[in-house]
Amino acid sequence: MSIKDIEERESQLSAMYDGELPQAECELVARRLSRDENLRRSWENYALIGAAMRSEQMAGHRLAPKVAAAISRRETAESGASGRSTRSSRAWSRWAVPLGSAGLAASIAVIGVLGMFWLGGGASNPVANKTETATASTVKEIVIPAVPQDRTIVVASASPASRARVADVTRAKPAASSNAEPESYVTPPLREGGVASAAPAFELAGYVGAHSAVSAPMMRHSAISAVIATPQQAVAVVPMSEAPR
Amino acid sequence: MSTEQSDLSLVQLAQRGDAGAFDALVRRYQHKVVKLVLRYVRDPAEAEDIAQEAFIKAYRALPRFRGDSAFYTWLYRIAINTAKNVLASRGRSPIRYEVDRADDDDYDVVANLKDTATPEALALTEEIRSTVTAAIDALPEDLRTAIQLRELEGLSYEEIAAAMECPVGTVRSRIFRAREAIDARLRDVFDGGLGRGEVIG
Repeated sequence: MSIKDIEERESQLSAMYDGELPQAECELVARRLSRDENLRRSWENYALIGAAMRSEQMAGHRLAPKVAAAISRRETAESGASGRSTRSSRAWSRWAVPLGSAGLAASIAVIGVLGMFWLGGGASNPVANKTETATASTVKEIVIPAVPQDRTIVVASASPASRARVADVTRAKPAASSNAEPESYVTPPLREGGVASAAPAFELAGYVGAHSAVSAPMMRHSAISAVIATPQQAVAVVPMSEAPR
Repeated sequence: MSTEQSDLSLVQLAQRGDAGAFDALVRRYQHKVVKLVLRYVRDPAEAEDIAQEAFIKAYRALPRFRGDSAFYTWLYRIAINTAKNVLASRGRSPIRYEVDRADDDDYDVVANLKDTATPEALALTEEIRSTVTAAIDALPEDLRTAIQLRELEGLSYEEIAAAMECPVGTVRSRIFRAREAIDARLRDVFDGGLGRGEVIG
């Protein structure tokens, strides 16, 4: 930029200060002024010159940097607070969906577990008898994980399409069969002949099927499928790690 | 084109988030606002604090400024209200000066400042004034006359052109060159160490 150009710009600035610049030029100079600290310093000095010539007081000189700093501080503080609020909202939203899902799963699981205890009463509960009778020979494969810490119970059939899972979010003591930390899952003891006793799983699956009105459609379908999928196959208990997914 | 319209160009930029544009408005009116607030409080440092708060309020309220009045008129009301609120919150009354005059241009607070400003601040104020005076005295007569008609008499470029019997463009050039010369002298003073702090306080 030549000296002449610089002079022209400052000449425009001086005319703008006096309100004597055409509107179109004024908008251009205003943009330059907003970007150019040196021009703003000249602009500031124009005000100082006028005040000095009129013997006015010059209080407030160099106030502008303080104002700029104060505005910046407040905006930073507010954006920080707003950011925390946003993060807080996001945190809430992060938690809200899983909690909702867990709530539904927990409701179903609690019902299932309570049902297991209830059905464990045997002959005193006609529904249990009916369910067990109906399902005892129908489940192909049932996996009953008994993870010590979270008590996730999985009821699964051999067919992935007919697998059902019920999460039990209730805390309970691990059903360890020995003092050693279980390797994977605690399974029911084998009956004679090597066939696992899958009665609790039957009861749970039967209970879910029988109370399908409180289950989600997919869950209901899976639970029922697990019960009726392959009626002729024997029941086996497999570790969760080997369960089909 | 008036001062109000040139301010409006900066206001519109500032409303779009241009901090530099608002800074230019602050630099233009900082003296006037502090001078105005000094009618309410005696302490120049307190007046600057109030003026600063008034500018911050103006910045935050800027999105609602529609340009129905001049920017300075709007800013003036914010500054007065800020000063009154500060005094009310402290259970104090404005100092003895007349506080609600619409026109503050004739109000001379120099006498008040002499009572309240620190010796250093007064010395610096005097140095600025003497620098400007010396720079004006050193100007060629046509430049000196043009800047004096503008700053002291408040004439428009057209009126100055008529008075000096020259084109308006020449008036604009003369006033600019006068300011440029004085500005250079002021920068020497400030860059030499003075004026980088506070003039008052």
